[in-house]
Amino acid sequence: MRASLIVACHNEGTALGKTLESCIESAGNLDYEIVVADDASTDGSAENVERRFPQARIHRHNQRRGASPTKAMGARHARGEVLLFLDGHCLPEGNALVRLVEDVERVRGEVVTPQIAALDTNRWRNALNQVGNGYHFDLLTFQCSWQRLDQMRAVFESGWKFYESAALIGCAFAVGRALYDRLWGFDPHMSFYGVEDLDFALKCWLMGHRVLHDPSAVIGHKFQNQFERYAVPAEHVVVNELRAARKNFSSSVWDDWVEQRRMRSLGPLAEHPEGLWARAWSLFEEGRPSAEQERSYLQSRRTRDEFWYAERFGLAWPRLESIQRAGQIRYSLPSPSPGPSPSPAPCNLTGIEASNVQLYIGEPGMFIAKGSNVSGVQWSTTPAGNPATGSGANFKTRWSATGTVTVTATCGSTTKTFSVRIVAIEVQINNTAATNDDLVALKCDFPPQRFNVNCQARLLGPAAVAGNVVLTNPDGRLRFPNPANTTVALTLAANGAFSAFQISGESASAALGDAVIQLHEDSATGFVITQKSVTVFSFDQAKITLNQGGNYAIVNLPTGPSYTVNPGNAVTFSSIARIRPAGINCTAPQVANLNIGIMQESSNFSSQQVWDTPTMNWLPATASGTAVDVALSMSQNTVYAPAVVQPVADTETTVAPLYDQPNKPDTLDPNSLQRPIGCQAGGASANATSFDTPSDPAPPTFSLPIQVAGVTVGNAVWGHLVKVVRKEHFRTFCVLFNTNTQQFCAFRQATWDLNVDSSALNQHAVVNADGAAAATPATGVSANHAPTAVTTTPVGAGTQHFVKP
Amino acid sequence: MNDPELQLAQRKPEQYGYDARATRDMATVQFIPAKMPSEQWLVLSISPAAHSGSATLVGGAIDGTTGRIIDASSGKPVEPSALPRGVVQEGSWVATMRFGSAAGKRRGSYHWFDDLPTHVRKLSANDLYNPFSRGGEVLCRHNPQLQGSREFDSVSLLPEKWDVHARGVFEALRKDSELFSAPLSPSKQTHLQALVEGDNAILSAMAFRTLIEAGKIDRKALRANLTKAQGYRRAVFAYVALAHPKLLGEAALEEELTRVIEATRRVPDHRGIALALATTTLLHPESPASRSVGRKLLSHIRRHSNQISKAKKDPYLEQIFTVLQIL
Repeated sequence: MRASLIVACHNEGTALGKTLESCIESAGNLDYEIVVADDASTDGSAENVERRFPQARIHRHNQRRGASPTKAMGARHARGEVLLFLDGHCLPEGNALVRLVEDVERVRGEVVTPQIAALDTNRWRNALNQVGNGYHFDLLTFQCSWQRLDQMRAVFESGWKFYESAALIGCAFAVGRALYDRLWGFDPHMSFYGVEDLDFALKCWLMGHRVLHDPSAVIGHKFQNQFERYAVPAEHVVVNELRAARKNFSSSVWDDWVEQRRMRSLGPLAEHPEGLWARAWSLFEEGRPSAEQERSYLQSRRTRDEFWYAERFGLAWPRLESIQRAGQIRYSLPSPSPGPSPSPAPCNLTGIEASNVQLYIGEPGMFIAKGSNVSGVQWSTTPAGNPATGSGANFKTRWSATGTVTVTATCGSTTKTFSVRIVAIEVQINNTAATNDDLVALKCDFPPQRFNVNCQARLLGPAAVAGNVVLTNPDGRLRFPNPANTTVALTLAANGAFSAFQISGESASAALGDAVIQLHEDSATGFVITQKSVTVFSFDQAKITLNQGGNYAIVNLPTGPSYTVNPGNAVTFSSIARIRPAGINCTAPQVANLNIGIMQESSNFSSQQVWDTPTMNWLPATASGTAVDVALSMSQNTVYAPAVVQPVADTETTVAPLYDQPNKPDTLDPNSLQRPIGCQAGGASANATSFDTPSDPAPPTFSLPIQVAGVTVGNAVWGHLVKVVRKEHFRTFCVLFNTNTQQFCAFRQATWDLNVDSSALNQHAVVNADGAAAATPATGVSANHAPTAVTTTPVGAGTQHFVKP
Repeated sequence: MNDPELQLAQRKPEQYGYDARATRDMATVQFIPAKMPSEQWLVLSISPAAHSGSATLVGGAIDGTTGRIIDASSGKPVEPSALPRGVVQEGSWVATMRFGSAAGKRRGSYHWFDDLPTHVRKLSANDLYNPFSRGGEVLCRHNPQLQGSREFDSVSLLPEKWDVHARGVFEALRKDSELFSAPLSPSKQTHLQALVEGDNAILSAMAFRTLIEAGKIDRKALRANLTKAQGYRRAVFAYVALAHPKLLGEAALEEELTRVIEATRRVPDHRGIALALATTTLLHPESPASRSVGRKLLSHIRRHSNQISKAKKDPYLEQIFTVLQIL
């Protein structure tokens, strides 16, 4: 099943039925199911829709559990590939539901949110001038706000524009089933109202996925200024926040967050004399095992942390810098129970735990003091990191040079040290350390091919363990190297040996070095260790120009008569192309062998030769008086299959696959390969040129044995070539040619035709203007290049009578 | 060195093709009897049939009574399209000289069909002049065990009266099979230079080619050798030099040929260089010697010969200019 519409509801009244009606209309022919997840409604709304909508499956809580468990229940019963969550008071505009499902499929199952309009439930109409787009929340206070589209980062997926949203509002969104499960879905232990949607969005981002917003899908939602249909105990909102924070924040941030949340929750709570914070903490502790279980799952798999999230979405907290400033933020230990902080106890430092034993240059490393009462630990580094010193239970710093560094934690008279290897990565394009060859050619369309460049990377510095890196190319100009390879994973050996990879050009560079390879630690979204700039060079201003030459005539060469153009040629060719972007050094290895040349193919070939003036050469043994009648003229017609397309280098395999190739035997024009123009060095300013004069090598005479009564009496020889007709269609290409690999890529093509007849005047080739290459030039020799018909016949009925003397 | 001048007598237009082919063949001749001891090197005199070199239908004939095209073997009517096209080569040969062994046939006949190509980029040596279509004296390797054109290999058309030199080449190579092989010691260079200037024109051509390919012919030596040589030998020397323009440099080559042309005092002595330039242009239209140097020098020969002959045109040169349609 393609989709499941999960409608969560509690005492929705008539709005629930209207919501289902509207959804059914919006969904049209979508392959979907309706799952109504009812949170113990008491107003008869669930029974009502069960009666009215037999296609809907109703699942109910026996007692009120809250929004998050209700949505989780709906998802458990859903069978669709895409889960579409709606509240029971929503009105989709147009085909918004279908669009959301398509969006999720388009972004391979990631979360997609619609634009949310204010729904007037009395008129059952959306106020389209009152809409919200992106959703945003503060990690410290969990305060939410809407974001305008211009405040959001636009991304393109399969040509469709989306916006990255920091969070989502749970009233309406869609997600692929697989991702929902991977994120452990909605937290079934969050109670009553709120935070479950923020928690889900935060999990989504930290686990390496995205929340994408499509403003073209519009769904109305009834917003409440106050809770009209149910009460929301304040302590449950705090509990839900505690669960979200515990699951998603790392230990140091959780400590900081709990302390600050506690300070904001010290007020009284009706019916609970211990106050809001103590009550909330007590409830949180009751459900804590499930939170810890989910936390363990999430923290072991996430690819991003809350620092990344804060930086990504412009949050003031948490920030690495704030943690690194000793004393400005104090981290409380996880509180065993609510209440005032305990008095400091003597420090007991037993060791240092580190996030990694090996760090890359610039990569923040986290060091955690082990023991008890370690909040007063003083940290120092040798050689100095950035920051060089710090204090507190945790210490985060980084280094800017390779080597073995020592982190020292001091608490009272106790000192502990920890050694870390700082390493870097060297990336070589074209397997050289030089940078003038950090180039790769743009892929070719005709023929479809990629010009892969061998590359390699290795660890530098005192590596102790291998490094796992993932190479990405955010600008999309490169592949590694096949079309589907947008990333490549490498394991870099600890001994510094190179690991190989390949790149190819997917789209052209606009400027030198604008194709950037990023090397991430462990995953495509991991820490960016280093990056390497590459240029995807391409060619523009390509041109193949054909110029019509002279007229055909039968001329007498030493070889005998020939139907040709003399002096001159039938057609002259001129080919040129410019390398881009500006500034390419064409002496670089990837470019040094690239030249602009010419290829040509022919088809629809036919020819005719006519000889006359017969003579008779009798065999000596033929008896005198033997008489024969011989046709006055003989015609030989040759027709090739029109579909047969042959490469044309005039059968000269030495210059193939080009039409002409300097420094190869039988080259016509020594200027037929030229460097591209536009080079910073090593280029050319001239066109590649060549010429063609298709000529029939008609022998000067035609002969056949003559038989009388089955006995050969002599040979008739028609000694005068009187007529030649030649038809042929040509397609000539401007190509890029690698003289080393013999690879080529067609840029432009121009056609020309011969339809010449020696019995008429002013017979010449007809040339056409060029256009973009539309096909790959023919290469090799077609297996079916033999003529389909050769017909030799007398011309007319006239004969000459010969008698042997 | 006593070379007859290139003659006009009884020439038909296609015999300029003969001169061009012979010049090219002597400039590139491969006469290495030691490497093929099982085969015989011969000088053959070839007499083609009247229809040799004609286009034809392979296996076809015409019924002289009905005029219909028939299968030559069965005599039955046949669709012409069922028969392949070809160029017939047919005639007889006589061995006028035999090297190494006196055994073997002294005369024989030949008959085969060449393919009829549909695309011709430029002229080949056989396009210029095919001795099996038109006759002539050839030096070749002969293997009577093979059929058709493969019976004759390394075919070199001999200029008129050069057949007498073939024996001397054979004897010289029998004494020293590495005579024309690198490396060239100073004494070997001296010996080769002596051969260049000797009476055996084929040995002279092979020695000149060996020296120029080894870079042992400088501008002065080129000019001296060209000046001394006459007739076919001058044509062959010039062709070899034009075929290796990079050894001396195009500019130096043009300059030295110009000096030889300007030092020429008799119009017939221009014929050799003109023939070499024409041959190069026909066979190697892509070479710099053809594209710029060749055309310039032929114009220069025309002007210079007009000057020294007081505008009386040399028929041989005029035939080259017009029949070969170079200018």
